[in-house]
Amino acid sequence: MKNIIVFFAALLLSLSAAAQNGKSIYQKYSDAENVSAVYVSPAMFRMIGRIPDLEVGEDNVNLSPIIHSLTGLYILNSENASINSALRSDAERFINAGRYELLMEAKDSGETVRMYTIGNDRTIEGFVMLAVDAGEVTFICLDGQMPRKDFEGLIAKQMAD
Amino acid sequence: MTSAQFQNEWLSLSGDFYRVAYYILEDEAEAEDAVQELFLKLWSGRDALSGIRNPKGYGLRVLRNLCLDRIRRSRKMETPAVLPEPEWPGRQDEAVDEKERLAKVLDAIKSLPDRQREVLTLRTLDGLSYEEIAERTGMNQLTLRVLLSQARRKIRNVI
Amino acid sequence: MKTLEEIENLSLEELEMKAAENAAPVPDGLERRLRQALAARELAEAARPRPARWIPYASLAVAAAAAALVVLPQRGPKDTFDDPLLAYAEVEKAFQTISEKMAVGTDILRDAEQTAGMPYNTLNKIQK
Repeated sequence: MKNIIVFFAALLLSLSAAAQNGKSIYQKYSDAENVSAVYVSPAMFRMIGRIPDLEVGEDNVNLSPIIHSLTGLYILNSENASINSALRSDAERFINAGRYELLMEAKDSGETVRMYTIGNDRTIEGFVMLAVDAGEVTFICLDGQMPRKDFEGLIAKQMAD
Repeated sequence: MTSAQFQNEWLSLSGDFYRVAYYILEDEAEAEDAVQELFLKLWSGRDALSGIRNPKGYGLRVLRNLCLDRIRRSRKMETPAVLPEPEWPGRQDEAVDEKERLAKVLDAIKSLPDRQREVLTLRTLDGLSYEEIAERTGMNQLTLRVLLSQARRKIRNVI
Repeated sequence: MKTLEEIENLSLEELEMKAAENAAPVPDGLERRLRQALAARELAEAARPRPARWIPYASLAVAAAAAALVVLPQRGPKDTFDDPLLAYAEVEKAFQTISEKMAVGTDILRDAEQTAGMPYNTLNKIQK
């Protein structure tokens, strides 16, 4: 019986693998209970881009070139135990199906965090973070055309503080 | 003995060791191999080395024995047995596995792109922090983390 | 290669002297390669055999069932915020979360690696 389930599951998984992306994962889980969901659309990013003085932050961290290059932000934070592992495996399938490269991975106090990027030497076209805890899964997906140097500089700078 | 202490005390002697190994073995590759073997041995037992007053003398003694072993092996025309000398008891059982793993890792390191290899060595052997490595290499920290992550992945895949 | 007898008959001092007289040139980069070998030893020692992974059949089944339901056309989701300033605040927050988690990861790395011989549990997932 277990083998039949596994086979059936594997078959369906392989069929639906192509459908996975940040948007479809977001749509699938954003309405579930105990799931906080945030979506920022390309249109909204364009509006954000028109806000004057965006870059004046505490340390003059310049988010501007990145903001102007983003086309989508999906955040899912689930504390719903019954969907956590499904969310996680959907996210992992999506990551593996694309050509995401592992940027870093860390385990701390029972939480495993992995971050991935996809892109080329000059541009980061996508970023994914997947954080898995005993009762919580967080999925952050960024789409865009981020200049790599700016993205790196931003993260490194925030980390140095 | 810390990594830095070990390197300060012993690495500077590598030239002397090499010349002795070359004198005995009369072959560059063999000589370098013997010196590498010596250093791996010394490194494994580095905790016991702090009390040694004459590092060069001690190293030469070990090196000579390693070279004599090589001569014996080549005389017998055997495939070199890769077990280390029983000077550090308790390690012999794992010796073969360890040697194989080490050889694979070393090959993997050699095949890494220069920057990855550099960062990996500074991090693994010298235990430098990211700031220190960044200062030394002029790379920013995120790049370092990425390079290190890539290097480690390649090494893990070999083991 | 010298003979056993030749070498065994020399004292260490004599051996050293003769080698110095011989003055063979030391190959370029010897120290660098030795450092690499030592780094390799550290990495090799840190490797441990991995336990077999338990495949969660139950969640595979759940995922399959869920996947079977996902034949949705790609209608766009709705923006969570109407106000770009609020949306921007969320973006900033997301970046903050990301860099916090990244900082935690590098702290762990720093701590773990400063303990000699400790297995690298923090970065040990095998990339499929």
